[in-house]
Amino acid sequence: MSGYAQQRGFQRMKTKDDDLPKDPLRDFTAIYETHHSTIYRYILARVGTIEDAQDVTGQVFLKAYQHSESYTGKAPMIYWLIGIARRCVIDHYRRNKPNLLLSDAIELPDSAPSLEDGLEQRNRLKRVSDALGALSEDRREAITLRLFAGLSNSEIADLMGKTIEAIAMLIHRGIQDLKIRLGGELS
Amino acid sequence: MTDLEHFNSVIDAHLAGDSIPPQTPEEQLAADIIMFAQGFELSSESDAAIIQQLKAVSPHQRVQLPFIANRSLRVASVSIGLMALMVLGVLTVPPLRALAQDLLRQIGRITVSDAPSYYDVYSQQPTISPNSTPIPDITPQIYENRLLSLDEVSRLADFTVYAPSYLPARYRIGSRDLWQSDGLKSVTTSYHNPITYDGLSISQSIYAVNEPDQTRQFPVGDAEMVDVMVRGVGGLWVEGVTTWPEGSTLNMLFWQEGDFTFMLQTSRLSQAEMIRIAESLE
Repeated sequence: MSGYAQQRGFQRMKTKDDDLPKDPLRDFTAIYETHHSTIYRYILARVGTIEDAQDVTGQVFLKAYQHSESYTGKAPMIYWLIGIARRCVIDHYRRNKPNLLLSDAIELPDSAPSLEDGLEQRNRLKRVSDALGALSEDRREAITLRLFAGLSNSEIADLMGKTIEAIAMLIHRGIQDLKIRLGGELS
Repeated sequence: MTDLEHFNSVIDAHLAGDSIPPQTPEEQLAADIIMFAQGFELSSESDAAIIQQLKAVSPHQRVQLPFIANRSLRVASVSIGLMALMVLGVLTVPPLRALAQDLLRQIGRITVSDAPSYYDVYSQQPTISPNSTPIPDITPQIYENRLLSLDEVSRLADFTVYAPSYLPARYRIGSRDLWQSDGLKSVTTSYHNPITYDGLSISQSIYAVNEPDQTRQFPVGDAEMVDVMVRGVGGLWVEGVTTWPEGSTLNMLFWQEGDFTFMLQTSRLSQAEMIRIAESLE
């Protein structure tokens, strides 16, 4: 195994977790380093903007740290973190009422370093996120966990309480739906 | 190998950084989405901010986060110190010049002195001469400011309100409102970083010419005062003013520009960063 999977560590996640200290939360920053990309990309697909995804990712790891006693170690840590991320995404949508005027949103400076360069990337992200949001909940969740978070079908099956075959089918059908909604958007 | 198995093998290969040519539009789209997702990483600023916050919370403090547990209150607490100083600065206050040792700076109608800061005065009850003016009983409050649009607040204030074209990464607007008292109109815009809960406020004030006695006083105690150049004029940078909540400090930047007095306050940002924000006001 090489490249993306190794960088992300998801295929070796259990090994990495095993390599962590016996108290897996003793060095939380190491846990953050291991899992933050997976969590960030999962959230990114769900909330659709870079800034919100950064905020929610921060909240996920703070909550995880605050409630570390709730991690029993019986399942891979990424399952626990994904669970927290799901709740944080829901909280994000509950909390963020459309209370900013459009003029404020336009006027508000955005200091992300790559704003201008990444404008098209941001627009694409929004369109992909919107297209994902139009899928059924199961298909959206399976595709987000598979293609954005980079989990295996087996891991997603554990997380969603379904068989591996069912997950594979959800993703395939979800992609067919997305193909209709996105057309050649990402080509 | 079935179509579905091939579809999954293409996904696995792309996630692993290997290359299996997609054979169907669905496989192509899945591969494209994976490539697209891989283009996103947390920015270095976000990464640093999150790690900083995690490191700031030692294991035995896990359930008891710094300052206040509730997020909205924590965001609000950022502005307590900022707003308290702003409001106290417009009140009729004791003769601070009498309390000051020797450092006095005049920025428009604002007097910055090394007299004990408002926080020191109100929270620690310093020894004051029996003959001095009684200190008003004021408790800092969380002010519920509105978030007005730039056009709306400019119309209410009857002057053009400036806004920064530059903000540090992740700072977001929280409120923009007009404060009025006799002879003074001040528009304050507050920002905060939702991860670190650091705050920033920008105040633009104008004083009535027919009320020359209307002034504001900012006692900053032992904070360091540095003369700086801002937008082509002389300004004052003050670093380390004690404020609420306990243990907090503020940095402040003052300058006069035409009829307006500008005051920027921050709970964390550096002098260089604040001047950069000031230079971007337009």
